[in-house]
Amino acid sequence: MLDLAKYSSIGAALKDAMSRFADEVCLIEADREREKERLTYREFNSRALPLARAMQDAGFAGSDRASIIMTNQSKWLISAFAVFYSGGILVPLDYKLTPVEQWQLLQHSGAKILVTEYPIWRQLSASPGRATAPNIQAVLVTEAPPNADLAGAQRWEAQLQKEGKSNAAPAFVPRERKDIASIVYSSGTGGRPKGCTMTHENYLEQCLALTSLYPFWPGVRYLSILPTNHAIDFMVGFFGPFTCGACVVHLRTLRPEFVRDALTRYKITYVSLVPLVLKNLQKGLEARFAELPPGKRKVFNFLVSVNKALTKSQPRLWLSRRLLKQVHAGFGGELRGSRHPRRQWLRPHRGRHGYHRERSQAISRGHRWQAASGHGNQDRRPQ
Amino acid sequence: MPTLEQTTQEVLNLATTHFKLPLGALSPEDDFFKKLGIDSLQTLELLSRIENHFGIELPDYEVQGVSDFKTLAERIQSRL
Repeated sequence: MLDLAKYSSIGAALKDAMSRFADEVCLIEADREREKERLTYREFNSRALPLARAMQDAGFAGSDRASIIMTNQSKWLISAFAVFYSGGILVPLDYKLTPVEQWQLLQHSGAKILVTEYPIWRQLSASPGRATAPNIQAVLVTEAPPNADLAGAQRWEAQLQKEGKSNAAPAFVPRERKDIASIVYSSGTGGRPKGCTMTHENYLEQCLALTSLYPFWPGVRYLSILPTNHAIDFMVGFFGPFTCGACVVHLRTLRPEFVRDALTRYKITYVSLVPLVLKNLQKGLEARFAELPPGKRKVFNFLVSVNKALTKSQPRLWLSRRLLKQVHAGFGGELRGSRHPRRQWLRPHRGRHGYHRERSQAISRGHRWQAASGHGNQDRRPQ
Repeated sequence: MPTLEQTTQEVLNLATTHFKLPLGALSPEDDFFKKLGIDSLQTLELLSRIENHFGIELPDYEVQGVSDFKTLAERIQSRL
């Protein structure tokens, strides 16, 4: 992985990752059983830089703010890199909020550019809330149908084809560690949502902590399910793997059957899940266990007991994979860890920088892979 | 092609069967989260069943924010 101690910003680290891991696959995007996209770091970079140049040509300068309201997909990450490359501040917003709420946060954040998907923009542009955010000067919309009414927005894809003011690459705008990298809005539990500023140092240090416990390397695949605007997925579904040359897998249709399929098809190494999804996966497994003939079931239960006993003090993944081969195969056979948003995120005695390890109790059958739990948004300096 | 009313009725029938409810227990305006007391994952399971029944694909963005059978039927109808 990159030596993050040497970097002063997210943009600088990602920029180096693009050349260091140029030929590694960084992104896979699938929709149901169809693979839509597979990009190497070189290809990712070749899309992000024209976007950065188009943004800079349109007047986007260092410290300007750009918001992304998108579902998890390749263009989310490409757009975010273009923002950081240009020295900008990212404002990732939840695509599940109502249009009125999204406009309120867009206004509050002071964002100059909005990057969004056409179905979201269809609702946003029709919302009366639009008048409340005159600070949004440009809207880039992805995947709009050919004859769609863009209501004043521009096509994201067209930005990649634009002739720049010069043929030169966009300017890389360096940032300091103490500079603000993003404004993350909390869910507003118990009050109005508040914007929390995160510095480049916050992310760089968090990434160091994360990768010391859960290492990424080229070939590792992370299944990105939690929304990328969420602090957890931003780190483990973007910045963490990208600084290590690993690969992120996006699913455009999030249904239990497609998640299950992706785990095995793409041999996923890590995944972040809410307990509900984990429970659903467990339900599928339980149904398969129930179908076992009595003799096999007895052997299986015995192996589970052995596995539990031998991994009580610490996980031994290699052992669990041997004892419960088919169970692990059901999760792709390569799964090493999972992360779950929980309220125990910041327990200083359990780890450093907000991450800690615990044995997974979530799958009661005892696969014994590593699980981290956390609350995700480490609120700092609420504004 | 079926009418919107027929599609709505088919959706209600599918939900009734899927959640093992008595016939007529659901109406088009019902909020399925509240009426059925189901979580988002159970809703996704129902959606998969509906897709298989009608032979269509409902992208996530089409069903984002939909919570009643009538609107769901409209989204299905637009893809038939």
